[in-house]
Amino acid sequence: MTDLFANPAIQSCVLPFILALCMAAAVGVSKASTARYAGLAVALSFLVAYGITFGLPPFPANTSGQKIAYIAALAAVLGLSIEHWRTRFARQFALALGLVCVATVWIGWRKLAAAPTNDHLFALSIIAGAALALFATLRPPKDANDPAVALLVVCLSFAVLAFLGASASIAQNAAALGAALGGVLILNWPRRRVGLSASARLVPVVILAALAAQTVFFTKVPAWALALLLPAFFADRLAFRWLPADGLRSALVRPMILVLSASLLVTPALAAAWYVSSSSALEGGY
Amino acid sequence: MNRIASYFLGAFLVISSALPAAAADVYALDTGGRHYYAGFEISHLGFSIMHGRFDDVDGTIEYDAANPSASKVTVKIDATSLNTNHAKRDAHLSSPDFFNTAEFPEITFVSTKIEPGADGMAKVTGDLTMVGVTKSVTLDTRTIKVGAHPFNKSPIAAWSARGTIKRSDFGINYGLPIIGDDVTLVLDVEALKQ
Repeated sequence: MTDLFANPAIQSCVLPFILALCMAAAVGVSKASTARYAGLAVALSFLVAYGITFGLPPFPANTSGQKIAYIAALAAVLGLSIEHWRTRFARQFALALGLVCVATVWIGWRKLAAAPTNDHLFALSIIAGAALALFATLRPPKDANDPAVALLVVCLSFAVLAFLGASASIAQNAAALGAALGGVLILNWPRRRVGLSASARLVPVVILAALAAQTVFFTKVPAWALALLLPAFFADRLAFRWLPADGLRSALVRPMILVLSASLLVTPALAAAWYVSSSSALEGGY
Repeated sequence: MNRIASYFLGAFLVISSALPAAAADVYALDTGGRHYYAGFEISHLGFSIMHGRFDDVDGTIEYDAANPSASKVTVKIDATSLNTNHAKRDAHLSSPDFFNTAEFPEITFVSTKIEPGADGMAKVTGDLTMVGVTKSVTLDTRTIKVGAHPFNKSPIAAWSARGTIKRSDFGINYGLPIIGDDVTLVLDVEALKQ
């Protein structure tokens, strides 16, 4: 059993996927009044996967990796709050961006406390990128699943970038986030079963921004490669613009087209990162 | 006359008590000649023992030959100089998964207690700070030789230290238990008297 949970594929793919699926189904399908909390299954599943992979972080957190767990927990509390008080878009956006600012500065503190360097520019870029991602995923969508599907593709692409940048732990965290999101989304495919509320989109973006900060400050992944992922957050809007609406109406085909669109949009980021690193530092074992 | 003598004696006692005991000799690691080795050994997937080292090390040893327990050791390791003779593995070990060298570029050891043993052996206990965590670690140390350099006759000394830590104590949990928890530390140094 211990060996099973030591397997990275179980830790960061299978486990968060199944956990999120079960939690979202339990909360979202059974009772209409609690359905809006279903998205929080993403944060909780991510935290469980984190605990199994890295153990419980000490308090106060010491390393950037340990801080990720606390930021995810704070994001979950924020998600719970906005669902409980039914906060509107502008306030959701402001609160989430505030948390992203805190997370970025906290994670990069050891570098940002020094005299102004490129790291300060990176911090501003991360916050600006998160603002764009939050705008794309939080704005009232025609279908709440659409931005979440794009977000899923971004999470998995982020995992590949981190893997190329020689950090398996960040790759596993991003993959776990994507898998948890996938666990909730699969409930709505091909038939809608749970309503995806704002927290289901807000929480992953905040965690992803924290992972971006850790990646930019402490790994070899170039910041511009992460920036190339940003257009994928708008995959749904672009798909609507360029593809016939008929194809997007079907609940079966719509997510597939969105996955394809988002995948095309992340291709430049993956290609660039692959070109820079030539091959993954983690490839093949050693 | 007796009174004057007693004043002098009193003054001598006051001054001598204020002076430190025989000062220890200060030795600095031979960084110019790189006569040092700071390495680590860890189980690789339960099969072989993987060896790694840090190429850039500095430090001082305040060595009190008359009273070795009063000696003091300070070692500073540049974590970014990690070298396992494999570039990809070095990149991974430097990442936040393990040594996290971009966030914590320095590893330090500062002795807090030295218990001399027989034949130049000693147990050197000190604070090892790695990945931002400080833990007390005891190293089995041996004084190899203290004397004059055979060619230039300058005073020189050499020590060898071994110890085992658990990386999980320092929050380096990634890959447990597949990649071993116990890490053997090896520190062999030659130092020049200042």
